[in-house]
Amino acid sequence: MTDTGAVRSAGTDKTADTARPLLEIRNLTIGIHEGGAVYTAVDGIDYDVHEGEILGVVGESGCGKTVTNLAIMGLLPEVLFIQGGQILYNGQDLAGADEETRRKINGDEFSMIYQEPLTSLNPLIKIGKQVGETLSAHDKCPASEIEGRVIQALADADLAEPEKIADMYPHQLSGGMRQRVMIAMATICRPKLLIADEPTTALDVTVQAQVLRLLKKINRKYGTAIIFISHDLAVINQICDRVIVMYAGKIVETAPTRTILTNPAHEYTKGLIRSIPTMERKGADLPCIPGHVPSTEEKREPCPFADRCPVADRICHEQEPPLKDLGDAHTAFCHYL
Amino acid sequence: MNNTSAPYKNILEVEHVSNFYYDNGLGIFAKRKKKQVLDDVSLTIRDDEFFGLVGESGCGKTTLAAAILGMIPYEGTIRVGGKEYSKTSRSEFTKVVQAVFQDPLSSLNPRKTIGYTMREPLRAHKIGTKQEQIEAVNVMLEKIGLDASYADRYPRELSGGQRQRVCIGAALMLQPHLVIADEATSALDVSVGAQILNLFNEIDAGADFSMLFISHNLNVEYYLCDRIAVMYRGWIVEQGTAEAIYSHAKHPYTKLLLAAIPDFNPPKDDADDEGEVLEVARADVPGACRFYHRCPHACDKCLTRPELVNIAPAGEEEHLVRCPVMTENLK
Repeated sequence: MTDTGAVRSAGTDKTADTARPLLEIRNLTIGIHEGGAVYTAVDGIDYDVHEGEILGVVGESGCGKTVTNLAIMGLLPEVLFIQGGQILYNGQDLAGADEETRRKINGDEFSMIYQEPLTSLNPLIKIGKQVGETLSAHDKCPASEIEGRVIQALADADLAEPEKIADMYPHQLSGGMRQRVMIAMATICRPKLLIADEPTTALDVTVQAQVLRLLKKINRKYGTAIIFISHDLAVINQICDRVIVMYAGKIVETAPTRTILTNPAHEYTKGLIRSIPTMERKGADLPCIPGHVPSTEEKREPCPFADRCPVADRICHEQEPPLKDLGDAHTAFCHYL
Repeated sequence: MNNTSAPYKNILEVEHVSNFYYDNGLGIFAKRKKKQVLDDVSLTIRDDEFFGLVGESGCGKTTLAAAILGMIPYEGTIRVGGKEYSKTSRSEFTKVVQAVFQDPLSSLNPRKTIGYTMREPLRAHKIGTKQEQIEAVNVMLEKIGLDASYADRYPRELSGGQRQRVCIGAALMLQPHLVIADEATSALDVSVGAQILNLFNEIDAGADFSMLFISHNLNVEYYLCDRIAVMYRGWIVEQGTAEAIYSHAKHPYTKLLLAAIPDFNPPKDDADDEGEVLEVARADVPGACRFYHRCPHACDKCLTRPELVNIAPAGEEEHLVRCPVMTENLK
């Protein structure tokens, strides 16, 4: 409860001996046009993605986790726009990057997989051709080698009989196989960063386990950094090294996965963990967080969680919460830590 | 609730229900193929019981719900409250059975206010005067944790969790004996899902009803339900108390399902280490056990259709397992 641990500067969560992070998000603010007015969807967030790590982003619908990562990819839909801040990759700010720069980076150095693989695949083009498209678009290898590389990528994604699958259409595959095809497509150019937006949410739990294993394998084998977006802390626990907890457009807490689960600091994170039905809680009332997530149109308190927080005080409604360093790469935004 | 000495009154009896659909295949000359979804499914839900049905997508969970709700043709018998409802007694049926679906937004009419939607069941059954109906809606709104002002709002003004509350409220307006909840919390955020689960428990404490709770999430099923049935490719492969399924699962598929649930234990670091082999790949054999193609314990015994065997000691709640290998070992 003391104020001594407070630090305001960004980026203090990284240890001194690490090299420059792969990606630095600095004070990123994303606005949304709605009915003539402009609201804030993401409110001045800072974070780093280090090389070769799996970073989890967790939060409820509408907290801005997807929007932030669409901004990294330069894929924001028309109603959303970057209001301020920087997305630094190799010292280059991608926030205002033009189409040409984007084309070079997307698919080659950054790539993304989505929740619903069927809508990401072209139903009229055979799998082999779709997966190979990334290679030809980035002039990665001579046309004669593409087929071999595609087969290899499909095999790498743990798909049995890759030759047969390359010759099939998306509708002939199951959901899990389609997601593997998406992963093959996204990783065929060996990107430095893979953004996975709820990649297992639409899958069955047994298939989910396989896809998580596959993502981990790719991360270990090629050193691909992964931003793994999910609403499910249990899934995050399976795969992520570090977790960012987002709430109503802001980051509320950042810590290594084990720390978040065993020793959460922010009241929102605590509430989130408590509301998961587990074996021990059978029959008992689930301690849920009262109230609801404020929508983008609602006026937000300086601390977005103040209205639902059990320890909130007047100060939470008046001043922005400071960033507190809790040690061991654990930081949280709260007045009362 | 699990009082074994009293004779049960069963709210729902599903007996030997099978269901088929025709796959037109690709191309205009392709032969229509008859495909089976539900294969001889039998289950019983007792009064005031929460019964869970769990399984992967495509296993027939929702098909079974649709059959119970009389929305699709089926073979076999389904009795609700001891009565077999045909299409002629549809209005009687809806007083007894109500459903809550996964996506609340598509279940609500966007052009009608919440109050209108919730009054609809009372209006359809001509229960009470307009004033009484509005009163009843307000009482129900209170019960589901919204206030009377929500009656004048439209679905788009509500959050996902609030919409699902409205769907549950509308389903409970007629005080049905059986509620069928098909993935009712799956589309919701974790903390909102928790609120809905609490709501079910709260309402159940006040007004008794039974529920068939369909989900792919075994954790949620365990939390909410008294008994659980596990479905695989149209078969019930295991059925028992929540405790039996969760802690003493016998069927290889249930074990696979349980092992796949992401938990909060520190994960094993080796990405290739799969621990005990729970799943293998082999060719399907017609007529064999439906799990034959993935089962690590499959042998010649599995080549004929296995039957559900009760492995619980006499006098205890049934624990049915459809696996000749696992039940053999117990004898």
